[in-house]
Amino acid sequence: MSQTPAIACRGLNKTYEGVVALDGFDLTVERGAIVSLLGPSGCGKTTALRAVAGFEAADAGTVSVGDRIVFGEGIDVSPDKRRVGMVFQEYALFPHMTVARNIAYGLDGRDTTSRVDDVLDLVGLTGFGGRMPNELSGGEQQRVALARALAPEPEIVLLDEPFSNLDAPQRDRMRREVRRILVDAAATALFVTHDQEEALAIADTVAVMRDGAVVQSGTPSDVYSRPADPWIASFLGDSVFLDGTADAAGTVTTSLGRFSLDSDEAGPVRVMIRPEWIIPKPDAAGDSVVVGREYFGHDQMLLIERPDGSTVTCRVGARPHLRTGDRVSLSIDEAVVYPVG
Amino acid sequence: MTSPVAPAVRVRGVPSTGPGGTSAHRSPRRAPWWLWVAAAVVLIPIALPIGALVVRVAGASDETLSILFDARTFELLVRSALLTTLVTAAAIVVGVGAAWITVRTDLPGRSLWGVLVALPLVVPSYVIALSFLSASGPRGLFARITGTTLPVLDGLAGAWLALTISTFPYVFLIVAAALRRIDPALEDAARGLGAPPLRVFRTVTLPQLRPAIGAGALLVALYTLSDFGAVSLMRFDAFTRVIYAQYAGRLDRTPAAVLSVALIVIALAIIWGEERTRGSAAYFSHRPNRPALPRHLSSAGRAAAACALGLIVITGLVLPVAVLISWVAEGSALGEGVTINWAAVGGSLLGSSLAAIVAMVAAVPVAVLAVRYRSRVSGWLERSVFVAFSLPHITVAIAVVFFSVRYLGPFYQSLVVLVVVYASVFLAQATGSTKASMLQVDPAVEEASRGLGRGPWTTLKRITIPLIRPGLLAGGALVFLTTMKELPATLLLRPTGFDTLAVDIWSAANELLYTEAAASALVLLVISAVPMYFLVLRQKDVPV
Repeated sequence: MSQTPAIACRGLNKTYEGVVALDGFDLTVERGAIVSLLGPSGCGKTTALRAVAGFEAADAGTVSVGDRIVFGEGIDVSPDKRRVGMVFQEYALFPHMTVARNIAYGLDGRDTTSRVDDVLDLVGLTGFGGRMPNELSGGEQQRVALARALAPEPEIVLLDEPFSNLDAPQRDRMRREVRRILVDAAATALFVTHDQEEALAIADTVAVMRDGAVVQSGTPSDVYSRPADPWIASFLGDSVFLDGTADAAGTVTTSLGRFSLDSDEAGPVRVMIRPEWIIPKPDAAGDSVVVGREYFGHDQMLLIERPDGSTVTCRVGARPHLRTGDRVSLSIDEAVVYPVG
Repeated sequence: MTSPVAPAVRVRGVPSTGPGGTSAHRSPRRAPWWLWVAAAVVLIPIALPIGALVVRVAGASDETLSILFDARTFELLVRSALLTTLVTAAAIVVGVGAAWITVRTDLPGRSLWGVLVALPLVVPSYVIALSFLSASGPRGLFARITGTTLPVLDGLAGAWLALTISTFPYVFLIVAAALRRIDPALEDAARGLGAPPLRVFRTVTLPQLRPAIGAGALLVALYTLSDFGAVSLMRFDAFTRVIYAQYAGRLDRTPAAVLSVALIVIALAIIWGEERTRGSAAYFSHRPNRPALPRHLSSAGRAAAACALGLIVITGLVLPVAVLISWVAEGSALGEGVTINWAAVGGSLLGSSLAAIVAMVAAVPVAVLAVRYRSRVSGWLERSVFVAFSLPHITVAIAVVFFSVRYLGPFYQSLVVLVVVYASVFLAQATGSTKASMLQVDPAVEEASRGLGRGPWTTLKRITIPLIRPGLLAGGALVFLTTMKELPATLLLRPTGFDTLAVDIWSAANELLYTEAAASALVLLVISAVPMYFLVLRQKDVPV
């Protein structure tokens, strides 16, 4: 893309009393994109978000918002002048103000009323302007928080673990709803989350973070099916690891058989397979046996024992009906190869 | 009720969860410079005069300094130390006992008792002393009603009793709050392990109350050491009384200055000692999931508990009020025409309101710095506010007199100086509850305001201050209440012609004009009831 990105972080470092929170953090968010910053707790993702918003100063590096450097090169623009909206984990609505006054808080000049009404419509809370925050449900508070952040039309909206305070059914609904609102508003958004499912579901781009740096970013399906290393693979979802050997022709031999993969590796390799990439076929002559089954309704996980005594898990739809003790034969749909060591 | 001062609510900040934690509020940006300036301004009115006093004393002649080491000073020290120790010990016993009864037993009406027992806090110690003096002795109220003469209650015994009754509410309030916070599961566990109730109290409950008892005892000790009115009326030669005599009776005021510095050193030593012994005892700040089951009292136990609490309420509240009323009644019967000194009422209201307002304004930067921008410096700032609170007012007043005579010329004995001194010495009371409110404000709310394009000043004005207003007002009410009672600083610093109820009570009592003293004391109690009512009402929503 040729236009300036909404935000760009370059080489951010931050250490707290010897603990490294950010270590060469790079991230670009293009305008109009919805990006999720995904990482385990303690990886520095919240620090990164707060450094972008200006609530914390990094030790080194630069942050640009639009075409303006807001941090670095001797500059440290205060949070109120960064044009960055933030939705806090616990919403942080002003408890002493009505919904309308909360939303109008970041607006200047005339016409605040019509703008407030517009964003209330946008988030589906038409007519809620006169309520107080404590009269709202969790999901409604979340909408108000989002409306308040969107009202001044910031360059980007940052959302810090926005769904962690909602119960499971509400969470799924709000996830879709928040995405709809952001798309309708043509807003740019950066989410922080530790929940991989949430990250994959809501974002156009997922940036996976570890130890203070982004280690991989791409579309959700990219990072899920082509994780850059075994750690990312495990972090993003269930994975089965097998030892194998690759030859120069790109054929990999594992205990699950031989398959040819697009790989430059030769010699011993680790092969990562998502459970749903393993396809068990009921086969009385198969060499593998179902030894365990977890049934979820819409799908199921099977624990299958190989002739060499090792086990693999695979995820299949509600069918076929397989029971413990059934014999199956396995085939592999897809796999990712990593060098050993 | 809110606990009266800062160290009672020394709530540690929420422990930071390290860089990756989801509690996002560590390592804040630097505080805006004007907050520091505001906080520094707050301390100057005390720090400068005390500094100047110390310098002056250090430069005093050897002959003057020698009074520090003569036998009389030593005697004074022993007497003050004795009184302070006795009062503190008795206040701990009474305060902890009353707290336990009102919080942990099923005594009927215990919440009402809880309020009544704390009320002697409103009665100035000199009024309590006065009521003891007039109730005892051959011509006292008690003798006249019952025909039996009580020995005159003055000197050490009188001062001890009067000060215990006026100060034990500090221990009571702080310990009662701590008792409510203790997780009863610990006591249950000890009982389950076979410990009898008394041993449970001694080995499980008491150690957990230690920080609260320490904080309460510290306030009691400092109060006793600085008390001027009660010891003077009881004719007990404590440090403060002698300092005042030296100040008022001599042309050369340097000896008073020397003794003041000595008293300041003792007060600082007490604070330091309490901090040392507090050690690393754990502070229990989490709320227990369930309240402790009240302990069932037998009917004899109930009677004993009600008697004990009743005795406290009688000596600390009923007796003083009864004595005051009887004087007023007697005076009007004798045709002495009971008049209310409206000038003193006006002076008290004006001085106390201004002091409360100034203290509330000053409490904001101190509380914001202490809670939002924790650092070594903000820790020292908070500590200095408490030190200012704990300095005996007579020494502060003497320091301010010296300082303003020398450097402030026209401001000497002006209302401005008096109000600023009130506000500075009582600031800790305003910061205490303001800080408690501040701790309840989610920092994300302030960050949200910054993120919406508002600067630190607008955020403070439109978000923080409205949210901490309850604590701020409670602090202001407390300052108002204490300023109403303040005596020594008012005596020394009041502008000519400026009268307050406290001064009126004191001078009338000294001239044996008891009817006038009683009338003013009653007015003072009635006025104090207003902020007190407000504070008691708010009790439920203030975490002590």
